[in-house]
Formats: sequence, C-alpha cells, structure tokens
Amino acid sequence: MKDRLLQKIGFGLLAAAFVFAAGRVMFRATGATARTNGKIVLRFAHWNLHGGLREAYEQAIAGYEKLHPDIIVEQMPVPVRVWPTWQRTQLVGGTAPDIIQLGRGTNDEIVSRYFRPLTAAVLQPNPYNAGTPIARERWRDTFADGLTGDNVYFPNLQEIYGVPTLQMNMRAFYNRELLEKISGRTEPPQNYAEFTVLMAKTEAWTKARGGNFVLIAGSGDYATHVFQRLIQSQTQAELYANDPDYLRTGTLLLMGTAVLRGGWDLRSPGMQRVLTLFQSLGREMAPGFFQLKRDDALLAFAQQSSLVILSGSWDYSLIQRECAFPVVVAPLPLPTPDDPTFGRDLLGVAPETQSSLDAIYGVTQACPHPEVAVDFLRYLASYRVGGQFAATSQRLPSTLGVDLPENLRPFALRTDGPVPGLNFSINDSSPDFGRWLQTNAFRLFEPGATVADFTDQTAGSFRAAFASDLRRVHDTQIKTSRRGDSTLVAQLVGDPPGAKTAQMITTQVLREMELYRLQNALER
Amino acid sequence: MCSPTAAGRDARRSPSIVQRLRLGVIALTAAASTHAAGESGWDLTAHYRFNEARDAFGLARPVTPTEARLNRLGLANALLNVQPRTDATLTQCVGLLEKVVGENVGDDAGITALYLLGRIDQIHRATPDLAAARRRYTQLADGGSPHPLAQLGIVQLALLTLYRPLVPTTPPVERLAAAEALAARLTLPSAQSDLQLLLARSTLFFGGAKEKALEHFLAARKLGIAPDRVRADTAFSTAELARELGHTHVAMECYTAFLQDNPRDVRGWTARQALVALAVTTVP
Repeated sequence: MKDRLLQKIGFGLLAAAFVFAAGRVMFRATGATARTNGKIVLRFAHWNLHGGLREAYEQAIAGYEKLHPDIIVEQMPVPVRVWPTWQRTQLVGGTAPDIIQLGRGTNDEIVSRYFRPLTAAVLQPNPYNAGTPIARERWRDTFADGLTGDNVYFPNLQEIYGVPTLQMNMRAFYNRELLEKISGRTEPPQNYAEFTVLMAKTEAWTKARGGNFVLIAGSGDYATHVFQRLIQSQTQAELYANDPDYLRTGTLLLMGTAVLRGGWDLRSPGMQRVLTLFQSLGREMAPGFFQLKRDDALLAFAQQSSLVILSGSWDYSLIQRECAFPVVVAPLPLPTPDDPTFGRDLLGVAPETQSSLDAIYGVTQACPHPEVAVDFLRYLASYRVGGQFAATSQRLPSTLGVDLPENLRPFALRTDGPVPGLNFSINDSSPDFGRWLQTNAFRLFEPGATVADFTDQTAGSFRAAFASDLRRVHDTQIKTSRRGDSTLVAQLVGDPPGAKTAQMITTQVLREMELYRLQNALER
Repeated sequence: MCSPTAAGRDARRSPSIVQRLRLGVIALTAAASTHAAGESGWDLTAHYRFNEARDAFGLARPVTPTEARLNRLGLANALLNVQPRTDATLTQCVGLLEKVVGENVGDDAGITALYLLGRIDQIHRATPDLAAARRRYTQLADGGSPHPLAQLGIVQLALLTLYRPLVPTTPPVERLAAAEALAARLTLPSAQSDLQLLLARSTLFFGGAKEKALEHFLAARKLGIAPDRVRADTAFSTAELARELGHTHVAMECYTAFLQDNPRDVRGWTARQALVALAVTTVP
C-alpha cells in the first residue's frame, strides 16, 4: 500500500515537472532576436576565430549599425571544436542565433528544418551595391560561382540557404630575400616550367652553401591540396573522354564511375602526369613530409629553412605576422599549355571558382526578423564592405570585382578558363581516396622510386579506393531518395502541384538515373 | 498482505498508469513541439521531421472517413522514414498504404498510396523487389491519371526499363525503344520533359544515335525544365552536342541561353570560346 502511494507520488512529481517544463517550452518567447531599448538585436555566430576576421566582422557591424541606428548586431565567435555540438544544441533547443555559419554538421535535414531559404533574396540585385560596377547584377551573380557551391545551394531542397563572405584559394608564398639570393630575381615563378628553373638553382645553391635546406616547406595537409590541384589540372582530357552526358563537370560520381567502368585509371596519361609532377614537387620537400602537420611546414618557412610554402589564402595573415621577411605571392607552380612536357593534353589553366567560397552564413527559422538578418548579410557581402573587409582581415571577400589592397591582388581568383578535370575535395568527399594517398604517397619519394613502379604497386588499391568512396556516395543517395519520397508526397498534399514539386521530381529522377549507373558499375 | 490475485491485479493496473503517463508525455511533447508554428503532420514531414510527424498523425482524431483515410496515408508516408528503420515499420507502412489503395485506387490518395508502394518495392526495401515495383507503376500507368505521382510512376518505369531491365542482357537499343514507347502515356508536360531528359542522357550513355539524343534534349527544353541547375546542364549539354553534330545555330542558341542564365558557371569560358568559334564559321 505504502509502495503504491510512493509510486503514485513519484509519478505525480514526474508528471508535474514535465508539465512545468513543457509549459516553459510552449510559452517561452520564440526566436533569438530580442529588443533592447526598442532596438532590434541581431546575433550571428561563426567559428572564424583567426586573426583579423573577428576585427573585420566588427568593423562591418559598426558600419551597419551606423546606417541602421535601430539595430544592434552581436558577433558570437564559437571555437570550431565545440561548434557541431553547440550548433545542434542551439538549433534543437530553439535558442539559435539569427545568423549561423553553415558547413559543419549542416545537412539537408538540418537546413530544411532550422534555416530559411534565401533563394528569392539572391535573385534580386543587392541594394548595397548601388553605385558600384556590380549594381545591376543579381546578388547571386556577384559571387564567383553564382552561389552553386556546397553549403550554399542544397540541390535536394532546390534552395539556396547560404551566403558566403570569403574566398579561399591556394598560392605559393616565397621568401623574397631568399628568392633573390638563390635565383637572382624577385619575380617568382608563374608556372611549373619556371619553377623547374628555380629547382635547379636551389639545388646548386644548397650544395654550395651546405646545411639542411629544402625548396618547399611541405606537410601532409598541403601536399594533399597540391595533389588535388594537380588532378584538376591534368585530367581534363579524361573528363572529356568519360562524360557521356556532355556535362563537362568532373564530379567524383562521374569520374569515379568511369574508373569503375574501366574508362580511365592510374595508368591514364593524365594520372601519369599527376604522379610525375607530384614526385617532382615532393622531392623538393623534407623527407617524410607527408607525416608533417601544417604548423611544422609554417615553422620551417618562418625559420627560413625553405624558400617557398604552397598554402592557402587562409594562412596569409598568419604568414605575414609570423615571418620576419618580405613574402611574395604567386600562383601554384602548375603546368600551362605551352609547357614542353606537361602541356600537350592540357586545355588550359582551369578557373578557381568552384568550392572556393567560405564563411557561409544562413538565417535561422528562429529569427523573428528575417528581413533584417538578410539585409545585414546583403551589407556584409556587398562591394564596398568587401574592400574594407579585405584590408582588415587580409583575406579575400566573397564579392567579385572588389578593389583589393595591393598586397592581396595576387590572390584574386582566376574566374576564366577551361573546365577542370576530376574536381573533388579529397578528404571531404572521398575519405578512402584520401587514405589511399596518405598510405601510398611515400612510395613515390623513396630513393630510386619510379612512377611506373608506383603505378604497378598501387593501381589496384586506387580503383578500390574509388569503389569504397562511391559505395558511400551510393548509400547516401539512397537515403536521400528515400527521404525525398516522404517530403515530395507531403509537399504535394500540402500544396497544389507547382514549380517546387516539379523541381523535386526532376532532381529525383536524374539522381536515380545516376544511382543506377553507379550501381551497375559497382556490380561489375 | 498481498494475495497473488491482488498482486496480479496491481500488476495489470500499473501498466495502465504508465501507459496513461506515456500518452500524456507524447501528447505534451507533440503539443510543445508543434505549438509554435502550428505545424501539421504533413508540414512536419515536408521538413524531414518524420518521427514527430508520425506522432502527430498517430494522435490525430479524424472525424470523417475521408479524413481517416488521409491520416492513414500521412502516417504511412511518415513511417517510411521514421528512425530507427525496421522491417516492422515497413510492414505497418505497407499495410496502411494497401488499405488506402483498397478503398479507392483512382483518387489522389489512392494514386499516392500506390506510387509509394512502388517506391517501397523499388528503393525502400533492404532487397529491392523491382518486379513488384514495375507492377505497381504499370497499374498507375494503366489508370491514365494526370496526377503528378501517376505520371512519375511512368517515368520510374522508364528508368527501370533503361537501367534495370527484367532481362539484364536486353540490348540498349531495345531498352531505349521500350522506354521511349512510354512517352505516349504521359500527359503532364513536366513528366514528359523528365522522360525526354532521361531518354537524351540514356541514349548518349548507351552509345545510341546522337541525333536522337539531341532531339530528346530539344524536346525537354521546349517542354520546360523546372530546376535551375538541370536547365543549365541541359542547355550546356545540348549546345555541346549540337556543336559536335554540326547544328551551328542550335549550338549558338543554347550556349547563349546558358550564358544568359548562368553568367558565373564554371563552364562559361568554354561556352564563350565555342560561341566565338561558331560565329567565325557562320560568317557568310
């Protein structure tokens, strides 16, 4: 009897606590934006804690608040390590800031549930670009890729959810004093052929001087980026030969399926050139460089143990700050079509516009003043603010055509050129290919190693790595299609058939056509 | 002193308290989670909130038989993607959908349920049953409805005919002919366009006649292509193919349309170079 009473009291307390908690959730103020002294407070969260960026955002905020005295914008920098958990908690708890950076832990489901589509906004000109050379352009066309990249455009949802604020690209950073000492000139090499001249001069200089000096400060991270750029530059012919749909977009799905179907492999001319070039560049790095980290390479460069580091625009601010010598920036040493050895099958140097946009922001569903949040993003990614942003952050703003400070001009994206070949992000979209590179690259740099031997040893695992990555793509696509069935039906029941459902259907049909092609290739 | 009989009675009573509490918890959770936006089960499903949608449909108290039928459809539709994914859930889903179909296969709810049954056989089962999927889609095609999902069922039938034929050794030319024959059964322009796109790209993929592929691409463009990216891809592919086949004016028109709509596409330089080269060849 006593037990039953206690049990009932326990359940009663539990129920009361739940009702109280549910009531709090039900009746709390929704949305993150609050009003302080009649002003709208807009909060935006990101993980860009690198030097200069927070200051640049702060400067942009000050400019915006001056234009809009009734709005306060608060910046919320969050360490990247805790970002995914923090973000999820905020979104699920309904306490998310108005604007949140996209890209870590944001997928179709999260975006559809917690973020607002920005498609309608980006199809109109950005009013903050008035009076500038890009005044009449649709806002989306003021970005290098027309807002079609990852974490910006979500193809399964048929919507744009993100606005990028930065451009990223790879460059070669040279120690100008050493460059002059070794090569007799301050103008850095502009392509691979010129770089080979510098290689020879550095070898002679190092022999004469003695000591440990290597031309390139290398690390596994940087080498992977370079390998990726070499593949993009050297597999244009492979793309054209394996593109049945005449699409000319070398996605992992298209090119990987071609590998499985036997259309090309490690023995193809393009990949043989990639390996030869990679071996040539890798031999100019410290032995075992693939095991070194980014910081090791930066330290070697800062200590003047190397003449050049092949890195990204994201490191420029740090390099400027940490290096006690002038730095000169040039394109990566890639072959051009006039290269006597590597230029024959090249269509040209590809543009850098794909996957180059970063610091992407979305507006959350919790934001009660979405028009204010979108307006702030318009301001942040506008022509004039872009110039200030570049000067303060020492990084490239996402808006095209911005008048850059003199020292940033070598970073300006190449926007024209023939399409790249296999164009993928090695570690993000193809982890098994990344592992293949990580575990096999050393074979290329062993004394006496040849590209032919490397090819014989690793051609099988090259194919297997693609197959493994593509199985993952296949499983993801199946899940996407399954979820798409329910959302499509819900959409059709909710609204009369319209453009949105027609978009969803076409996308699904073509995705499944590619899925079946992949399935057939995987079964071979 | 508790007799065994009393204990048994208590044991039977306890679950009812727990059950009542559990129902209360579900009700409050559902109320709390949907209160802010007043979202229906369909809204929740449209935003990938399948588990919440299942609860919402489960708690609904439909008044009329029509509402009850639509609620069953909504519940089945949500169950398709409820986590964790189990055979039991899929079986429950099939049962609900078959009931909806059994009541009337010709109205919107019946067509939707039949389409979903086809999709379950095609893509939701751990081991797809493509023969069953084909039967469901054929039944949809035979109904002759202009409903988007009935029309999509015919496009799915074409997809299976092309890439997963009943006889795997069916030559590509026969697959293409069989898929093309389905065009006559489509009445909705967007579905006709989808089939034309499928035929164009599959003709090229299987090494069929390029002139035929070009015809399909042009037909799809004429019918209209809804998604921006697919419209961009199709304009570019059509231009490249037309150029290769010597249809200069078609190629120029498609390159121009592509550039107008997609000034920042990575293929822009290729299109502009092609236009310059084609302009030279067309100078009288």
